[in-house]
Amino acid sequence: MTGGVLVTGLGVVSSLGHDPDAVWTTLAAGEAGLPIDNVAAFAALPLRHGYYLAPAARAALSPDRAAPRASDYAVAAARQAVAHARLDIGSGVVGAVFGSGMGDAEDWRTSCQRGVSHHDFIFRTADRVSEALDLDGPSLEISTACSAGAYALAVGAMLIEAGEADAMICGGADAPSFHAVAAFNRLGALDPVACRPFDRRRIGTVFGEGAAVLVLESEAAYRARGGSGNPVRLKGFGVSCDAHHSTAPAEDAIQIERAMRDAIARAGIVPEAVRVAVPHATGTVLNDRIESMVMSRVFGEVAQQPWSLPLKGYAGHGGGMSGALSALVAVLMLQHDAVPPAAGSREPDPDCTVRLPDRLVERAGLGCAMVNAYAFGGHNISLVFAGEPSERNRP
Amino acid sequence: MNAEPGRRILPDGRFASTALAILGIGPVAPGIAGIAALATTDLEQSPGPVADDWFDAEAFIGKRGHKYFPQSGRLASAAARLALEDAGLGDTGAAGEDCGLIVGTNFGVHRVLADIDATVGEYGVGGLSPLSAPNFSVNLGASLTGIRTSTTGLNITLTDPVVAGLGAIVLAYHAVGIAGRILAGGAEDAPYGCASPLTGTGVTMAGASCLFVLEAAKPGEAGAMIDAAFLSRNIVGTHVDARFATRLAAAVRGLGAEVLVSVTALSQSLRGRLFDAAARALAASGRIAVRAPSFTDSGGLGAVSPLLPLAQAAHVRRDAIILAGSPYGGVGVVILKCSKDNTR
Repeated sequence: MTGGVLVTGLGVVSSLGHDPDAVWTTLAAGEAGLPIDNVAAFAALPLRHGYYLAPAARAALSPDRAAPRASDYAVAAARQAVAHARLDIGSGVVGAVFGSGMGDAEDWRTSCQRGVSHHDFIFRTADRVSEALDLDGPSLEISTACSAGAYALAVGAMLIEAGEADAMICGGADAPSFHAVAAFNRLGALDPVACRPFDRRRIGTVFGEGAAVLVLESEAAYRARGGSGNPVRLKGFGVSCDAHHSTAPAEDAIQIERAMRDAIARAGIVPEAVRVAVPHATGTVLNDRIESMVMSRVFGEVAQQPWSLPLKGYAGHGGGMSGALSALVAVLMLQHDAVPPAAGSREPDPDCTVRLPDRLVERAGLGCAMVNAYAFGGHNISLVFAGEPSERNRP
Repeated sequence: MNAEPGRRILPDGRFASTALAILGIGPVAPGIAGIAALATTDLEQSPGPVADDWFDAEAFIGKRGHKYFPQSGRLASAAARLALEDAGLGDTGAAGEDCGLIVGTNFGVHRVLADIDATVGEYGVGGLSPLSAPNFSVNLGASLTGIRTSTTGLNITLTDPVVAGLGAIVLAYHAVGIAGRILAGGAEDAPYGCASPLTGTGVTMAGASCLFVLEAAKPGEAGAMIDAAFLSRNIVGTHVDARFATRLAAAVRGLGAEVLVSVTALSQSLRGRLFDAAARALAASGRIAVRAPSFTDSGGLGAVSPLLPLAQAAHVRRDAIILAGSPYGGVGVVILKCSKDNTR
């Protein structure tokens, strides 16, 4: 990527809040929630809690109670993001790329139980966003499990840089899925207390849900419609695959490191320029240790490293949404030039060599932020964003 | 509109506009195993109902190492092997950081999810095998294929209704450069109970895969080329119609006098509209559209459906426009340009 693409709009639906300002308020205050057990359909599962939306919050998002949940979140967040960007759909070529680990699998399951159909398409998040917003550009649905939202951003940027679109509505969305929670129960990969990334007490992850959306736009298109200022840019990405194991990361972490280094190189910066990271940090024992090991390889000793904000300590693991939510929070940190505290990581694991803020770090002089996302099957991706505090957030 | 379609970016920031060379093709479907078999298959004739266990994975990928794969992963692994062999690259032709894998699927996970639901309902989560439980994630088919081929460049699963298989070719068109060689195509399992309006009457949804070995074409290279590939939406609307038509007309200018046109869509009306759009684009430059009917036209092999006609046309070196349309508005287009010679 050369100059990168601009991030001109944000939208979010999550347990942290239902708009970017609300999310930032929660994070800045260090208010990590606790998982709740409110999905009746999961009654047969031993561990079923998650960072889920309360029924009232969900109902407020959409009056259509029958709307597929993940797609519904995606549409709500996409509408926010387009409004935030003040983007006039129809004035250029605008498309959508969405990542989802499970799509609307839970709604499909319910249909099957009612005897409706086993044949419906499960993954229609990008389609539904395109339909709702009347987009006519490229539409793609990516399902690289828990890295899907981050891949959606990379692919969206790629399509803009290839001249296929002026702007892309990119993000991730996922909702509670019986199949995923059942499988994680069987795999012993769930923490019965909370999601505690890099914490010495962590024993697994906890699911979350929602959608996070970024409007990506070419600089030319943004300026042509009168855009001013200097929005945050997605400057580079690096992708790789372990090709090692269906669930466990390769312990040599060569491919994770390559993705990080490629993202930094494509952004045209040096590692020292990255001042904050949103790591994948799921709370699973091995994954967190390996990711922190690679952070040390790329950035050096803890004191030299960028701040790390393990976001899942606030919002749980939103599956295909998580990489997009991490990107959205990375943009917010650059705009506010601040790093929220690492809530959920109150007893740092000495084996996890990352630099965790224990309070809100203000006037942090960030400049560049990195986002990591990894997934079942060994998918690795790192994104690099660059930007300065937005006008309204300048000290 | 500022977008300039057709440019491709390379890792160093330069844009490329070269086509993709098709080096090898690996189709696996009922009655079809390998490109030689596909070349002699009459795609107009549906294979009809087939047994649930029609695919003999051992014959393609050996006895070991795939017991806990989802069926889409077994089929994709077989297709990968066949495609690499067809390209003369052997078992290690996709190995390494410069090789990637992009797979489209619509029904790769339905059977797995239904089985999880049934097993937990009867035995609780303890009834699940920890080795197959991860298969709930639809990307595992491509991921396990990546493991078998040691493909570490990139690995992406696309799931757009009907279009995902062609979408994989389109994404490869843009992603070549991030990885120098990409295996791209589709892989499907069969959902339970296949007689469905979704897949058309008389069509058997039985699982299938078809992967292509793709690289950026070298200057002056001859053979079968992906000359253009793009995605669009809602082509029937007013202003969009014009833009789609303009793009399509520009994309077909390098093709020969007669061009095969293959259209996959669930409804006959959408198939008709897409065929007409292609025919008009060809007629505008004095070319003739030749319909290429296939038993997969109505989407009976899911995301793999448009890939079999593409594979057959590439193998016999016929210029072609391959289209797939989703009932929800997505459209994929691949322009195949061929020369009889092959300079590789």
